[in-house]
Amino acid sequence: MKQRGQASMEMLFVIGMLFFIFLFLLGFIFTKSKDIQTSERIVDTKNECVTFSNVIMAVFLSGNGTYLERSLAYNMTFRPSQRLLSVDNDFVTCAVPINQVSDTPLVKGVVAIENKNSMVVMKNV
Amino acid sequence: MKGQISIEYLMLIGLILLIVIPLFYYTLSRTREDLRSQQAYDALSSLAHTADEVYSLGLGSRDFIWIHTPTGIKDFTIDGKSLAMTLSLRGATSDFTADTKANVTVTQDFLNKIVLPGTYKVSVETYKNVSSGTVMILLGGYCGDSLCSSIENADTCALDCVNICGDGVCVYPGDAIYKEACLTDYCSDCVGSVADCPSGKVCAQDLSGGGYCKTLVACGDGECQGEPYVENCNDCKIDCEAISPWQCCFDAVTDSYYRSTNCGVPPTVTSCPDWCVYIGDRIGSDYDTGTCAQTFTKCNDFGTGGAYVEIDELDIDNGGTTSGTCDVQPKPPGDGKCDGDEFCVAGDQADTCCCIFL
Repeated sequence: MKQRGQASMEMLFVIGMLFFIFLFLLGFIFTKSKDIQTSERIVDTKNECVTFSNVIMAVFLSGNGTYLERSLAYNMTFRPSQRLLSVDNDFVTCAVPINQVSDTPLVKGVVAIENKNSMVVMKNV
Repeated sequence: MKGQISIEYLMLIGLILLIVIPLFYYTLSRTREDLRSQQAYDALSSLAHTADEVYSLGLGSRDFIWIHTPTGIKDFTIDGKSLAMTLSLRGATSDFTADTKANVTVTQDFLNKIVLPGTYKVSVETYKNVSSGTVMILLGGYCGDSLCSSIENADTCALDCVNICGDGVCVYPGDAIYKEACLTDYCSDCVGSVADCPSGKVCAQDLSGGGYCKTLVACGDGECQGEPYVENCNDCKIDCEAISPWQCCFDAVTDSYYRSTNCGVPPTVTSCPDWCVYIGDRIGSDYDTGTCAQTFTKCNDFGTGGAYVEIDELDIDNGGTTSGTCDVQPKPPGDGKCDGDEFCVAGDQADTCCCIFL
């Protein structure tokens, strides 16, 4: 019987093996990719939290009357009793060393931060 | 037959696979081991760092932290101020440790979780050890962990905390052991509450440390309360009368009134250049006169938007002009010379234009 154009059994075997290797690699990459995405979100929100915490401290330390506006990428809430700044519904939190801060919930967007008699008042604008 | 591969190619591919597969396996396993080792180190150092941070903020503080735990954790132990994790690594066990400033305690739930691989959000909070009286750190705390942390009380977590005087929650009239009230069985938790008080009055602490019921803040109740925000000498003259030599002064910073013998600088002034007291208009000049109650050094580098001003602020610029006869640099106080930049520019806000050492 004359056969033309078909792949040999050996070639099929090699391709099959390579296919399994790449499949394994793909599974591994997907797992790691998910981990990285979670880490990325944590790092991103933590960075936003720490940055905003520093802004609050800067406004507090700059004295009465200090006013600034800043854009927020996530919703935030400050809990004075715990000196805790919560980002994105408690997904990430960070400490702020003072509790003279208003506890108004802030939604993402532009917020105004003002020092009123050593009390940091924050609100959306 | 045509199309089949030659034996040489088969051997070559086999040889390549023989080399590549072990190499690939070694690299992958080595990377995974390094990753696990790094994750263990990160988890421990993050826990220790956050514990120190929360401890430094004192009682009432809490923070949450995300940690990634690797596979192969054999044990996790806490010994006072030391956290230790035993990890199975490269066929042996390795110990990772981190030290904290405060004594640390963990919940059983945390211990059960941390030995399993995954990503966890851990609560790090402070609590007061009842027996030793020291502030300690609790990892993985939650309502129901049988430890009353500093952010919990009988009201927010009845499972862990019993009501005691000092927890900030007024349980009136309290139980047989922990009586909390205002007049009898006074407890500071009840200050500001209506416990034990007739209608229209709230509990307050008197000078002897006991409790009494006082009338809610109202102009005419004979007491100047919450000055200057709630009541002040302008809004409630009956209660907050400014009898001579006291004057009723306006504080533009807080938009309120306060009592003082000198209305110059309000008590809310804390830093330069947040306040400049307008003294008067210099007729014929583009400058007004102002003072700021700050130290000379703070005013020294006062730059854009303000003027460098000394005590000789009131020295007269005979020329009556904005420049020409005035020097650029400040002169010593009382030298009778205008220093050129001593006065607020007309039209500027008085609280940002100048600064002076008093």
